[in-house]
Amino acid sequence: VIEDFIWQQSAEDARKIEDPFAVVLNDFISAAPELGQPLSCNISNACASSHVALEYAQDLFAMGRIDYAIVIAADLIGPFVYQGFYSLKVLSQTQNKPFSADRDGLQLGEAITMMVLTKTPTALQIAGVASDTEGTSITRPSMNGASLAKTFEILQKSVSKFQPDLIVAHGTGTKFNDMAEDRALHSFFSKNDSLRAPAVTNTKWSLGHTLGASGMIDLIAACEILKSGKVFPIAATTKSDTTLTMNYLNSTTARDFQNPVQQVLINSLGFGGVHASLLVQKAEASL
Amino acid sequence: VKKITVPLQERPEPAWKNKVDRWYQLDEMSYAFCVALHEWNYLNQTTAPPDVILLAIAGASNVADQDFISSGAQSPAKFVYTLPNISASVIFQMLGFSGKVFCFNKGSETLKFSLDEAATMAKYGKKVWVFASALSPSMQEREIQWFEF
Repeated sequence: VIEDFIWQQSAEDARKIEDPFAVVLNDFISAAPELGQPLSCNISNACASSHVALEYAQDLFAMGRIDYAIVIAADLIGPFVYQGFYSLKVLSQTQNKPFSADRDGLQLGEAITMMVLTKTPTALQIAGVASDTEGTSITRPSMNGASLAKTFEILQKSVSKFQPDLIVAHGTGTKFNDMAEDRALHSFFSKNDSLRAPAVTNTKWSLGHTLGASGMIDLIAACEILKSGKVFPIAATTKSDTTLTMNYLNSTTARDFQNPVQQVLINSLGFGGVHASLLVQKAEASL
Repeated sequence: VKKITVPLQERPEPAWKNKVDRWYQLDEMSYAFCVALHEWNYLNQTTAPPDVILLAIAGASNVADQDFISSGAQSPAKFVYTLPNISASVIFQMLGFSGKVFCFNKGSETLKFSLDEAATMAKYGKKVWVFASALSPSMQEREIQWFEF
């Protein structure tokens, strides 16, 4: 477990420790000799790591350098991570309630995910991924949401059809981050007359914030929505925050949600000012 | 290509203090990036920003991790630096724009991998900058490199 590895090595000289993530990657490739010697690396862009890894894969596909990609996203909650978030005072004392008026913080979760991508998808496809790192605060997104909105604009320009029917929001459940994400969504969709503002759902109320894996978790959830046609609510959220502007699905509105879902927008934000968004769709939606 | 070794023994109030939020709390890597960019006159931006910045941080955030643990794991100011990509925010604060960043890590091969990737991306028409920080065996200094493709 990497977290415990880091914790236990603390008595040693960190300048002489090989990065444990590099060791894990090498071990994985060694354990799968059938992969040969693939192009491989770790991508560490905080909680947006999944999106950024998918963006890197997207670029490799676009350059014609690869036919397949394996993207693995994982984060584990050891004492190191827990103490860190505790010190930031962002852990919920009750329950994770993204976009709820009474939200009071996030809950940590842990996950490992793996996805195999091909350059010729048949059923579902990632239409585009975009990221932007802004130079404002290290931990907080800017309140005008400009950086996240910029990723929407990049996506809109790069895909043949940009009309998401649903958004899986990053929504950590902290006051500040949820408000910044709401403002970014509102600023983008309100100035695009040709776009209807999609409804918004989220997974963190159920699975917790799985940090670097959270983007892949949300992508997998979006794929299930596209396959099943069933939309899930932000079930833990029961009190509408009147300062927020988007349509956040609760248990009642999700049940009444009848729109067919062809395209889902997935957001991811991370420390270091990184913002990312991804568009996944039914393969025929691009036609 | 630019390269600088930044001394870390003392941190007098820098000329760039107004560019970076809470400059006095920066970890050694982020601080060294700020000093480097100031020395390099913020890279004399007369051309368009790059399409992508590659961060090649071979030692990841190991030093900041240890610093956080050594503090009793109670310091949010130290915890925020326990991610290798965190210095990207500081770099953009200094440069005054935002953009796309891939923070690569491949152990001892990190810099070579990043330079190879940058060269390949450049062949496909991308303008790429690589910021690299080699982990010094001493806490007295930190090496910073910058490459343009």
